[in-house]
Amino acid sequence: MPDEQKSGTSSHGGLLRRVSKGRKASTGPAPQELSILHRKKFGMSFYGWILMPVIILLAAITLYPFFWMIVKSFYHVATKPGQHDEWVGLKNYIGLFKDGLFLNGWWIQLRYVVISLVVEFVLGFALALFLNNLKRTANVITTIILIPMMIAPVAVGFLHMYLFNSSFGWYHWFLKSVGLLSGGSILGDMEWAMAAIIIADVWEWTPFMALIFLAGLKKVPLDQLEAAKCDGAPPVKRFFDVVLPNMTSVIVIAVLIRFMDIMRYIDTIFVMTTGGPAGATKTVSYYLFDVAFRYFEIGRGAAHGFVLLLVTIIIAQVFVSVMNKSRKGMAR
Amino acid sequence: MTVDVTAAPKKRKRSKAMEQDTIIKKRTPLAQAITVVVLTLWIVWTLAPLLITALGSIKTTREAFATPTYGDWRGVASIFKFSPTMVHFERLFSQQGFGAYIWHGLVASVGSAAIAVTMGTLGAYGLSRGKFKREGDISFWIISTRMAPAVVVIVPLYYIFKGLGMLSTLTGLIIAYTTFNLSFSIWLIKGFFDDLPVEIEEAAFVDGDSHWAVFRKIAVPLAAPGIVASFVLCVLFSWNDFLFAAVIGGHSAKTVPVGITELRTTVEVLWGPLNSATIILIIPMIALGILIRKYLIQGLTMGAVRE
Repeated sequence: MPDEQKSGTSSHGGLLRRVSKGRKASTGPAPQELSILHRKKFGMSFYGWILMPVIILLAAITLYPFFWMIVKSFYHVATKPGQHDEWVGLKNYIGLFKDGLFLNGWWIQLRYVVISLVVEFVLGFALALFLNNLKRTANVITTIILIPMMIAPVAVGFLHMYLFNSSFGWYHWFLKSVGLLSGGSILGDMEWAMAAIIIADVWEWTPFMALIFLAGLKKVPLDQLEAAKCDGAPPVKRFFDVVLPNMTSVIVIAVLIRFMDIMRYIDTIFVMTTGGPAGATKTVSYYLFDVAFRYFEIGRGAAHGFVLLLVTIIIAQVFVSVMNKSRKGMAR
Repeated sequence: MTVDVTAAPKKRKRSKAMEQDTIIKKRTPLAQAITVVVLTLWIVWTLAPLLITALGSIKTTREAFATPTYGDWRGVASIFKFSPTMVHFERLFSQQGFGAYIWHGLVASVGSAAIAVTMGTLGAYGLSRGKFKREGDISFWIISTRMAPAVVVIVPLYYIFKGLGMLSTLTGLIIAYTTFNLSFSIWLIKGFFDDLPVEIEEAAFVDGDSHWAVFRKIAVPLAAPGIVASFVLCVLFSWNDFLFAAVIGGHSAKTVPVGITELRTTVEVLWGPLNSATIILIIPMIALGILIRKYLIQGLTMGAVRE
């Protein structure tokens, strides 16, 4: 009973607590208020019954492939009919760490991720501050700005492949006209190729960061700002002392989601450079595609994928814990 | 869909934004001018690639390839000098079979979104209202399936589907899309159910409605805008997907993104049709995105951030 009183402010929390109490008291006839919502049929409440088929479906389509991958990562998988899978122990994993392309792939991935994130963060924050300045036109302008987010990564790739083309691309023309570019081809140049991919990513996803930050800016408590203003804090100080600390969780969420999406998608690289020139844009995600679907080395691909997945899951764990905190913090 | 629950916060938010305007900024003309300049530049940068592609799709190849000499800034205006032609679009449908690709994309994305949202609504409601042992673990597992890199998911799926004979079928593609759409929609719709005041449902129980009736007649209609937004986002993700379609869809379930990559052959890149295909690929999704504009950020952050 004291539990319930404590959660009086949030009806939902109250409900949950009542349920958990109902579960404990499942042997005897439950009190009336519990039985209305959580009467059990065949040992499970209504909520359990509607959740279960969904969990089973999701497990079938995600857990099964997951364990399949772990098992196959210890095999040399047959690709021709008549052959059989051969147990090789840890050979696939050891092979990974002897593979220069795999190791270099992490380095390329890291550069891609860090540079994109930093640029998108800075531009996104600036954009959010400017958007926050708007009054009447804000809605129209944000709608225009977020258009790139809806575009398929493949299309973004081709759009930029066209723009960066060395004989008729407008970005190429622009860079030449400004005098930034001395060489001939952009996508054929070891350094410029990665820059081009990052520019495509920045073009598509900076608005995403900007809109998240804008949502964060709108939630900065007004009383704190007012107090800082009364104390005579200059705008810059107000920004660092009041605005930024209030936006920590929003910033972490934006950065982590972008991080995971950059790990998720290889479409733009596939379209713009196919990992080239000379492997300069062959990120570790992209390299997995090569291993599995170009060389058809399934066992090694499985090991590769498992390592990649582990890294992502660890980061997802961080993401969820931050998100849960922010959910509590941002509850209306 | 126009339920009071959704209308009220909007009003509150707007007035709050107005108040805040007066506090954070001093509205100096200089600040206003900088804002206008920066945002204009950004919008130009956002729209220019799209404009160039859109114009390229209705130009002849020769007109599309014409750029002025380097440094000739006035020559930029020549981009508008052309006579419109639909020849590239015609070619897409007559020679490249884009009609079928659009159909495949539609069936796969709508089919998968329908499964994901139907199941997702059930699961989300159960997860939101019920209390389970290890609920945190279930939630984490659900979201982590969504975080997995697409390439990683594709490797095992390809071989499992190969064994089941589901490669190159639309069914296979729908199931593949469901792997990421289902977890996404459970997580997102759960957020919408969490937002509903549970008292309404409790009142219905007191009136003697069954669980199912309460779910169907009260919870789902109240969360409908969120459910629709989830559906639209699922369609958007699947329609835009390339990797799953390329690997699992194979030869007989090609979608538009796969069709586009085929316009780049080893010999040449068919830029005219490619630009037209890009337009076909992106226009419907831009329209859908604007339609659910209000829920876009909440959707793409899986409910972590609300506007």
